[in-house]
Amino acid sequence: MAAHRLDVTDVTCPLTCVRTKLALERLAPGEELAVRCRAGEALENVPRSAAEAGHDVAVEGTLVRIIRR
Amino acid sequence: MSEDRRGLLRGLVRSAAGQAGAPQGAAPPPASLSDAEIERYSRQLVLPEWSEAAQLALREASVLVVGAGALGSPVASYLAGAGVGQLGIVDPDDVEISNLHRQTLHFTPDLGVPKAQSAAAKLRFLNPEIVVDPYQARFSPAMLEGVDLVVDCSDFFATRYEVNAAACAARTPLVEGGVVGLSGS
Repeated sequence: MAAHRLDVTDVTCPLTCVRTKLALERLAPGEELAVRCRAGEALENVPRSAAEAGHDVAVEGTLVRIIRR
Repeated sequence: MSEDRRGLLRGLVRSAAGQAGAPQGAAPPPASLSDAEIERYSRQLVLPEWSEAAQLALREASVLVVGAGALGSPVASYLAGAGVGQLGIVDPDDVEISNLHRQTLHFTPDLGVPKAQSAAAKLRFLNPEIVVDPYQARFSPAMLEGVDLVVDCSDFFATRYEVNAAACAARTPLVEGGVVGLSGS
C-alpha cells in the first residue's frame, strides 16, 4: 500500500505536529503517512508526538514514516 | 479539576466527535478546517483529546449564554475562542462603571452601551470566524430554538427558574454556574 504524503517544511512547530495529527486522523488504522520535515525542531517533535500518540514511527533522514495505530 | 468535571469534559469531547460522524477508524468527515482555522485552533487541535472532527462539531454548534456579566464574560470569551460557531448573548442591561472591575468583556468606553452589544463586539474581535447574536432583552424560551446548549450566567433567581424550565421543556442541555462574593459553584 502506497504511503500518504505530507510536507510540513513550510510551517513551524507546533503546526508541524498539528498538521501531522490531522492527516493521521483521516487515515484508517494500518495506513502509512510519510511526513517530510525540516531538520531540527520539527524532525524532533513530529516523530516524538506521533510516538506519544501510540503510532509506529520510523525516521529516514528528514522523512518521518508513521503507521496509524 | 474534580473527577465529575473531568467526566463531563470527556463526555463533551466524545459527543462533539460523535456528532461530526467521525469516530476513530471511520470514513473521514465531509468537511474540513481551513488553513486559518487550523492555525487559530492549533493549540487545542494538538491535544490528544481533541480532533478535527471535534473542532468541526464545535463550528456547527450553537450556544446561548444568558447574562453578559462577571460569569458570562469569561464563559462567552472561551466559547468564542474555542470556535463555537454560533453564540447568542442575552442581557437586558447597560454597562455601568461598577461592572468594569470584573466583567471583562466591557471597557470604560462602553459605559451606557447595552451589555449584549458590548459583549458581542468584543467576541467578534476575538474570533471573526464565528457568528455572535446579541439579545438586548430578558431571556425568553423562544431563544432556545436551534440551540445545542444553554449556559445560565444570570444573576436573578426568576431568570434561573425560567431558563431551567425552558431548557427542560426543550430538552436543551443546561450548564449552570453562580457567584456570590468570593464563593462560586
